[in-house]
Amino acid sequence: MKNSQVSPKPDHNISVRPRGVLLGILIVLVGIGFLLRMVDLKDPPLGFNPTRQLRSAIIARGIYYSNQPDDGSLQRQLATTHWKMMERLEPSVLEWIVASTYQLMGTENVWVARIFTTIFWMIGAVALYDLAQRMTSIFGALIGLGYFLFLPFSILASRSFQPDPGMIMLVILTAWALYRWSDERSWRWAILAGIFGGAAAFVKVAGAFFVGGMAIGVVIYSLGMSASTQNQEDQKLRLTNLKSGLRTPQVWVMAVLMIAPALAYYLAGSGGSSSSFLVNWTIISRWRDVLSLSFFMRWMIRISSLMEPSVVLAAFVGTFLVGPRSRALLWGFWGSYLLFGVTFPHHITTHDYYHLPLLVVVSLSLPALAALMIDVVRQRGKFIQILFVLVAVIAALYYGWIGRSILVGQDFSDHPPYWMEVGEAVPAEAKLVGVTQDYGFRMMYYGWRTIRLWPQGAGSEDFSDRTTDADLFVVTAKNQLNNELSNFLATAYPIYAEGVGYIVYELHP
Amino acid sequence: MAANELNPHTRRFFRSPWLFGIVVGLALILGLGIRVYDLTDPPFDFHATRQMRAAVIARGMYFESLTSADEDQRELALEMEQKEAIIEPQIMERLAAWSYLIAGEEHLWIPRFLSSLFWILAGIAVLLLGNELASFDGGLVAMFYMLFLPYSIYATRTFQPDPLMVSLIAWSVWAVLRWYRESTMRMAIVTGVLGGLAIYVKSVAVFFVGGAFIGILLVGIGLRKAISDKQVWAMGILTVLPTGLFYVYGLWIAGFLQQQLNYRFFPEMWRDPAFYIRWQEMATNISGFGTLLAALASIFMVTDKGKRGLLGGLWLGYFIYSMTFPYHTLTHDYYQLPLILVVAISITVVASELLSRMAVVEKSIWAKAVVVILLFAGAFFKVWDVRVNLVRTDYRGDVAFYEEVGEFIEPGARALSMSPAYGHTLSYYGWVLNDSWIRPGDVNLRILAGASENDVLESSYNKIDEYDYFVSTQIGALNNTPELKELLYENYEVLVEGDGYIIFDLKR
Repeated sequence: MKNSQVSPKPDHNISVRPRGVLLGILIVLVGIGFLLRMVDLKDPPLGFNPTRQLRSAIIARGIYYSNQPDDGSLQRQLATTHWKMMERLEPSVLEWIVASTYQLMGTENVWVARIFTTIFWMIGAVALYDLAQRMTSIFGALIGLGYFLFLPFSILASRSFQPDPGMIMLVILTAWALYRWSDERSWRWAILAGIFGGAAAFVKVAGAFFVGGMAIGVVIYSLGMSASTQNQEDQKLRLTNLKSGLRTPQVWVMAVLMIAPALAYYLAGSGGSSSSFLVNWTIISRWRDVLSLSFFMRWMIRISSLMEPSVVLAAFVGTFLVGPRSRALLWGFWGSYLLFGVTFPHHITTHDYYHLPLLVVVSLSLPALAALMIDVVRQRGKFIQILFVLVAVIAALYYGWIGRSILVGQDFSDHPPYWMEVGEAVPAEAKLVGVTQDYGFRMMYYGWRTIRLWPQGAGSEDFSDRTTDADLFVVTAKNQLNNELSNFLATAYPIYAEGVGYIVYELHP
Repeated sequence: MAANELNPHTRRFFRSPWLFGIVVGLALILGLGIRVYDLTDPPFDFHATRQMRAAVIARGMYFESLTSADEDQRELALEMEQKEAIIEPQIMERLAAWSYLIAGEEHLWIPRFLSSLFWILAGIAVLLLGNELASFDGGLVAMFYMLFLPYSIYATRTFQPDPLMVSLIAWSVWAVLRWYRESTMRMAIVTGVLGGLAIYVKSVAVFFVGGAFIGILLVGIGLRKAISDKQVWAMGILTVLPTGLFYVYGLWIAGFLQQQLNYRFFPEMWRDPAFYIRWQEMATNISGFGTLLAALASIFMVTDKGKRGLLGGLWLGYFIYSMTFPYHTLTHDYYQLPLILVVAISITVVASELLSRMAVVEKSIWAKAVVVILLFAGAFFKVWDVRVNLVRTDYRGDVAFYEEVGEFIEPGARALSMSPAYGHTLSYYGWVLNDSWIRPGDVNLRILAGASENDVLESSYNKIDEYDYFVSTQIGALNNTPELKELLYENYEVLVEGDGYIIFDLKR
């Protein structure tokens, strides 16, 4: 990394009036971003990764009911049972916040979660803007902010009931604090970076990748350039600087704050099934996947379905245009995303929300590119500048309109009554096994019934062994039921209940 | 490779001609390689109607010159060719027929290979015009876009005039930029010839050639100066002449073009907001929304007025073109092929600016390595994705199907068909002389043009008795036309019913 960069300089010298205008633009953008995510607010959370959202909804409900006085009701019992059945993949921070809000509201309103995650996203957006304008320029940062707020994928993902929007907010805040720390090297920013980074990793351990990547990039660059802010002469990246710089207590306090919360949580054993997740779903057991070309192709295809690959590539090239300090942070982020993808080869190719960090780093890298274009356009006449702004506005409106259209086009309002009907069709005390959607979470959440999943693709062999402790066999996902088992059930067992889209067989008539 | 004269301060990112040459060479090889992959598969993957129509015409031309051909077969091939309306000069078909003669056999992959070559040449033109417009660096990025955009891969290995037309537009834009820089009569003539050829190959090129030429002349030179310039006149006459003569001959002397302007211009669609929404969907799905925006923004980044005029003219040309053919804009995605060129030309500016800034900021070999890796990684990803799709689809079995159907129809008999690609596939592979039964889409088109549904259907039903057979290879479509199905079953004998087809004998 060279010192001779001519990266766009931040426009810190703008006058008061444009500052007011700028604040207005910022408020309008964030306001529209917020309102877009409030479209169809009360629609059930089934439009984006329903399994993940229902899982959080079940946990939040469980927490809420467990905080209610024990009146011996079936609902309280089922809500807490379902909650305990959920794998503990990470601390239930968001779920706890949502449950506390239920408590305040006196009732369970799952849409509340959308408001919280949207607020998290908006806080992240403001931090992203501030960081981007420090790294590039105000107008470049506005383009990055627009991408972060209005990309349809961002609109759908950031209002979902899962820990990721909160984690993303904390990752951005960490980036922001790290950047400020490298600028000032003050205790205030070291502690804030540590707290934000620690919280990000605590909320969802995946955050550790990005916090770690950025922290390593920033620390190596900052300390390598000069061990302390007092020594500003002859700045050059040196190993000796780094060695002496690493004696700085700020770095270690920051590191401890970043690592401690998540480490304490998982070492204390609260992580539950997280260790089995690590063993079964990461590169530890799936290293062969990473060696195949098709893995990278599927990864790219997944990205292509969420954002335009040429924009992603252009954004990465944009990192060459920012100053070395910003580049250290961004490259740390990009590198950690790659490492993250390789570590979770299954999830990176199948789970779209695993690419939310990519959205952040693209939004942070794009401003450099945008700033370059704006620099050129600023040398043209007013008319051309207006046309350029018009193109940017049309882009934001277009993205926002697409996101809104998707939200308006989806309607899941008939799903809860359907699942309630299925739930009411079977007695609460009956033991259920069956073929159903989203690991049975829909049945649990809306139908208030516990169901054990029939092994995927299994036929009628060993049927009685597998159903000895079950009373009823419930089928709501007929497309997942193989023909052989379907025929077997139809001929061997009487129908206990039947309705549109579901059928229940009585196993022990 | 000198720095651009109009942008003397532009710093080259790829300063080593060796590195630049290797990157360009590899990209061209990869671009051609993916286009010739699986080329012997019948061309049903992309607008089979257009391609099979061209195949039928080319076969007629080939048999016309093939002295060794069986007389009956030759007559049938010629009759099929002559049945096709002339909608533009049949250049690709003629090239294909000549290539069949040279190869000694009819190979449908040859014209597809030629189209691929034309597109590769278009890529080279974009590289060169990129240097005229901004820099070779920008041209290189634009060339990658041209070659590896997935849609461009599928659409430019096809037997239709569009890849050749776009290639000639690209070369004419390069030529006009050279002329703008040199102001020589030689370049004016080259520009006029290339522009004239582009429009001659397919007349819709006029929107882009005209847009670019008029843009650079009006904004860069000025109307008064342009009018008094002999070179401009030479350029203009050569551009207009070939197509002008063709249209004068086709419309007023031979008359074969008189019907070809029907069902194309539907201004009433301009009032429908859905038209604009679907248009932008079509354009963004093909070119990518972010890239489209960057391309549009590029117009504002160009310093030179003439070049800005050229870009503006190209975009305005695209706008007028789409407004002129609103129906085809929404239904024929290959009408967006020139957009790929317009976007590619435009992004040379932003790519050039980006890479020249990088050349100043980061001089290390790593930056160049990263850019080269990213370019090829992006290209390879697209190529692989297309390759997987091409491998997944195999239409060779369909050929045997049409041959089987064709065996039931005696040579020279006339059939009415309900078969894919307006019966062209049946003509080509089954050797069945047939006219297509009117499709619901065509009924709608005629209604849009002011006809009544009853009149359109009535004239179709009235024609049934003029044919010897009714052949349906689309049983589902026949089932969806219950009146026709009932009429056929009640009045005519089923000659044969096989797996996926049914033939009625209309003479019994």
